Amino acid sequence: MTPELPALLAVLLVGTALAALLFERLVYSLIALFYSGLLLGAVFLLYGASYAGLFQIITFAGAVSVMFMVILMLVGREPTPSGPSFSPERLIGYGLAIGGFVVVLVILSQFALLPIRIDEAGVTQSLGIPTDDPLMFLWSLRSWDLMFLLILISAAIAGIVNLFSKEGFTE
Amino acid sequence: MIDQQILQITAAALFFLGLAGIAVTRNLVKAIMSFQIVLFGVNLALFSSGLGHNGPSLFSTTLLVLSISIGASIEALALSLVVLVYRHYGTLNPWEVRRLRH
Repeated sequence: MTPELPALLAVLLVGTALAALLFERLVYSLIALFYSGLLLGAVFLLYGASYAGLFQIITFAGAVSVMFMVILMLVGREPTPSGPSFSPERLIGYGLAIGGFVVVLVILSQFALLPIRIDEAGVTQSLGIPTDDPLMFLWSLRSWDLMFLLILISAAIAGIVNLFSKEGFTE
Repeated sequence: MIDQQILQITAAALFFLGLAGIAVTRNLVKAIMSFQIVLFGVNLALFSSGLGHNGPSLFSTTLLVLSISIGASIEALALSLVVLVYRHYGTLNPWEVRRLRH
């Protein structure tokens, strides 16, 4: 595969995301966000991850866009208050974002120059983990991730139950 | 430049773009849209980390599908909270909501 197509898709993806952030009207933002989700699904499909790509398109370009549209119909009457362009919190936000992006770029270039990269196939071979057993595979390589995910989901469930109980959030 | 680097740089750009959007926006719906852009960046990073010479690995694709579904449910929950906040306070500006608290 030539690198022009992924680069074009990447530029379009960042462009639509930027457009979604810069539009003042929320409906235009939503349309840009829809195209952004579609393009990300196209990137997944381009590299052969057809299940994940279709799932992405169905979920974000389909369901979440419709949900956003319903929410905009419910609450979107007021325009976006833009505020002053160069208030301190805006400058801090932009500065943090640009600084973080530069740091990540440096880290990415350093890792590409390192001779030994940690790659998944090498780790599984050296540990002797069977790759055909997905649960065992997940548990032996990403056990902390799974445990944190379980804790996070149970905390979210507890929060939702607390929020919608009668003693919790009241209108 | 190989494809993996292109995708990783795109993921970093999306992540920090969304982060800046969350930091500077004055509308809660726009903040959730920015969160969705952050989520796109995270998903793309997850996908590109497992990209080898013969396509994406099964492991990263599994985690990607998990991340997509969890992200969509988090967004649904956040949007329902936005509706509650709008009914309760009558505004979507987070600064106003903080001022009007109690």
